[in-house]
Amino acid sequence: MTTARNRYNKRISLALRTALVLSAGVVIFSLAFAIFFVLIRGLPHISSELFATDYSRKNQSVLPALWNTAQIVLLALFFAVPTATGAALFCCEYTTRRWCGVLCAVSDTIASLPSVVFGLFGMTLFCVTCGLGYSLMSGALTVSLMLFPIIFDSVKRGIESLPSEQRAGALALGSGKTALIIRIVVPHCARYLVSGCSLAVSRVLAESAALLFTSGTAPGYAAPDAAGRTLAVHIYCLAAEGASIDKAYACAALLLILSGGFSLAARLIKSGTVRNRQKE
Amino acid sequence: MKICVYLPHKAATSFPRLSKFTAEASPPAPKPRRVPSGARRGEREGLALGRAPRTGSALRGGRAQTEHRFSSVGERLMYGTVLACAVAFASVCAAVPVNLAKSSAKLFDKYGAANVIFGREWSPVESLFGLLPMLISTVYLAALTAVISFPVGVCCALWIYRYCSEKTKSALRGALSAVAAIPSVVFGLFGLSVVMPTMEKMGLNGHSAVSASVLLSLMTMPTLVMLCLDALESVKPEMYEAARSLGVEKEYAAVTVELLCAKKDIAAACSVSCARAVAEATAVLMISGNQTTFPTSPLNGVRTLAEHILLECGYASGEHRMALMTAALLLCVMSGALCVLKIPLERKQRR
Repeated sequence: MTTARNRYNKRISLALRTALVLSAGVVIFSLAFAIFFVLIRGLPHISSELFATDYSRKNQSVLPALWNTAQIVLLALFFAVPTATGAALFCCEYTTRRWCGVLCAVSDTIASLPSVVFGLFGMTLFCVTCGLGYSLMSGALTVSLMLFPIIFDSVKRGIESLPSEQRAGALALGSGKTALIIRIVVPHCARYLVSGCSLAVSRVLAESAALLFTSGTAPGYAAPDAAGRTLAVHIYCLAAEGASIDKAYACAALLLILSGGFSLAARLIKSGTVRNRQKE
Repeated sequence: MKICVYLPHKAATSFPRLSKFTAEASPPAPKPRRVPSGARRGEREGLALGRAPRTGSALRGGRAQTEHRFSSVGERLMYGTVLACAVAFASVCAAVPVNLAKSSAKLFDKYGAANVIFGREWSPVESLFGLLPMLISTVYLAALTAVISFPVGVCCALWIYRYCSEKTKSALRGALSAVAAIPSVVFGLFGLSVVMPTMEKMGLNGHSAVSASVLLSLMTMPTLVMLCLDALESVKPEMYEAARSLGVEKEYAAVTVELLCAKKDIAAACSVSCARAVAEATAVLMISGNQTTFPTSPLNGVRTLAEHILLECGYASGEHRMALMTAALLLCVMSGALCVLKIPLERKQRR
């Protein structure tokens, strides 16, 4: 290699290095800026006033929104977890590879749909056709549709990671399919299921587009059959009104911490599982 | 003498190799039923030759299992429950696209598909349901976002991959996955009070395609960087080492060898992040101007399909709602097509 070419090579690589470092700097700086901006603007406004038990025009308390969010999360998990777990078990334990492929394709398709589409679908199906109206129930049903693929995927991964020796051992000891599933497969998948649920919770917390027109925007505490806004929708409404932007930032900081925490927890639980398996 | 293992009938049929074993051990037992299923034969051979079976599948028993009669009530109950779950799962999920397609078919019947998809005017009051402005705006905004985010995101992934220690890398991955979970409303709020005023301070239109695409590239960045990292990690390290041993500079090797080797997967990562940009509604709604016009300049406002649905679905009914369903169908097709490219990447990772 000639020296001239070497020099050329070096110059290019210097330029490339600058480009790489610069772009990494831009990405990390801007994301960190966005997060810290929201936290710094929001955290000082988290006060006892924000958690007042009564919601009023003057003081938009966050407690009703939190209460509604908790209800929607629990209801959505209640609908999604058994169905998706059952489907994953069917997919991995009972059926042929072709039907398993069909189920996986369905779940992938659902995972790729935008959340607005779920909102529109949920509104026409649950609010109008089923007559539930704007209510937490129809919001939870809509969101549980979005959670199917998340839970299905994580449980399926758990089942697939079960060592085949355990399965063979159980069968050799004369267990039937049911005993195999209840005693061996489900305990093995428990951590994957919890990690999937944690991810699902962070997804529900973050959801606004699908809930705006299914669970409504009514402030205040709501029963499952009444309209009520979740935390994300609450932020959207506060920002749209524009009157109490400080409250919106306080809620945003709260939501940021909650949903980031749940998604990190999902990651930690899952990676813990992986490490344990390697040790075995 | 052969060891005779007691095996209940159930286990014997669901475990092909053992059934063969028992057949040998006890002479009067009938030969295992021949099943002309490729899957089952393949699995049996796989086990018999001692090849590593694919996870779980070897003992699952393929088709034999579905033909298998469940003897006890418990078995039947379990099978029924699980089957019901799977059917509910599939049918509810399939209902979404089917429902959208049905509604749009009704609208197409009345106004003609071309008039809806390629119509230039949107005015529900006059029964004009042209979705073309929104369609073009969606593509326009996605392209603008791609121009901003792809080079930066790919370079950032390359930097993390090549220059960070393992510890930093995993910490950054964790941080990125937490950032990816940030709700879009929070980003919308950030855009409303940072991106928009900055644009206006520069003397430009705050509610415009540019500010929306800056915000969108910020939002899609974590996904893009993480998927690009996955893509880069699936390249064999020998490639880079060979290039380095030939005297190529570090960065030059990283870009010319690794980036080029991973180009398909990186393209997949880019298309997935594009799909996220297309699907985003709330944050974009808060910052792009929402006019139902064609995007003539990046400094004008736009209204994407997702925003369009979110804006009008509150008060739409009848044909108006059907038109929104059509918009949703178009959106599904777009984001689905962009997500399909991800599948080979995932398959590679699983291997």
